Amino acid sequence: MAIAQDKKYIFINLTRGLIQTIFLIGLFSCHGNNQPGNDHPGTINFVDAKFVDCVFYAGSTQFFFQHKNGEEFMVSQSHEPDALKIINADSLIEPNPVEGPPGPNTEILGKLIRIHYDKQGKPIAFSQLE
Amino acid sequence: MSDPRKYQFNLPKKGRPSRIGLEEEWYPEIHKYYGKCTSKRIYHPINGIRAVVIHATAGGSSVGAASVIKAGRASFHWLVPDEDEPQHGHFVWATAPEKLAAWHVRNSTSHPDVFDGHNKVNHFSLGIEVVNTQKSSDEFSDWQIQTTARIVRYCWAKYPNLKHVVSHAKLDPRRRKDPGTNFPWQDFKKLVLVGDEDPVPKLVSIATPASQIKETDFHGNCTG
Repeated sequence: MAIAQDKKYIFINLTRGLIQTIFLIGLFSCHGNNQPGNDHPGTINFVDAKFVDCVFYAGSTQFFFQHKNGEEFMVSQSHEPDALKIINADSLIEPNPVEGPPGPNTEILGKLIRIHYDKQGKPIAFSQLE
Repeated sequence: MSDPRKYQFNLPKKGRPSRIGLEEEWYPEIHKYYGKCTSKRIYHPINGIRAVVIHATAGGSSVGAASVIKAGRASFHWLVPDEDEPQHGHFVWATAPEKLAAWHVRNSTSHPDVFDGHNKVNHFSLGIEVVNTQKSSDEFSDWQIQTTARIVRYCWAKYPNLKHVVSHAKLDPRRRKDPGTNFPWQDFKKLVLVGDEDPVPKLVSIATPASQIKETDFHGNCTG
């Protein structure tokens, strides 16, 4: 009885390990693909880039990033009530601006940020890497 | 293509309108929120006004733009609705009292052409936001331009020291582009300087211009 349970336990762990390995292979196969939106449906895509600026408009916030090669690109967060909110976007915005629209959060300015995209190539989250 | 970082003109001393009406309504419940993102002006609220700053929202609706006031992050005095909004063609939203400094320009920004390069622009200016995405496909409507010009004329009539009409992009040119290349600045300038609120009466406008009236030979009795 105890041996049977051990075998079952080993089988479950092996299956889990196999699933994790497949997931990681899938994730790393996307790594280095710096063109969001051109990945296959169902895969997760991300880009690592340096956060260089943030421009706050009434209708949207524009986040500027820089690739390793120096090329800049922009990610926009709409202020429309029904817009998809980018997770952690607020952390890149100046928390307490003095009498003006906020600028970039200076504590995160220049830091490496991972920008996560969904299947359609839309940005869904920022995470700080350093 | 025009460069929004160069949009500016100054109002002449002559030609200031005497009194201009403005079709405006308070944005619903905005009075509950603007206190978090406005300041008491450091200059006189009438004589201290020197500039009007023209913005575009980089968004598609008044609701989205007003949300930043509700969040206490930025503010402006007027919001000009987009074409697909029911207020378009009727009235503009008032979103902060003119006597208060709205937070529409960052405190550190300034330009030598505007009030001798003073910073803290919010304290000597009024801010107009026009709803527009700033995408190349999104044109401003004629009504938006006419209405923005009318707000500036209203301000020109009300504030005796108002001189500068300037884009946000000129004040903060490094990354800002508003009101954008689609904003017809020259047409807007003409509308501000000439105005459209006192049209020539129809009877006068259809009369033959004096230059086209032929001289008449007089053969009457009173020639000499």
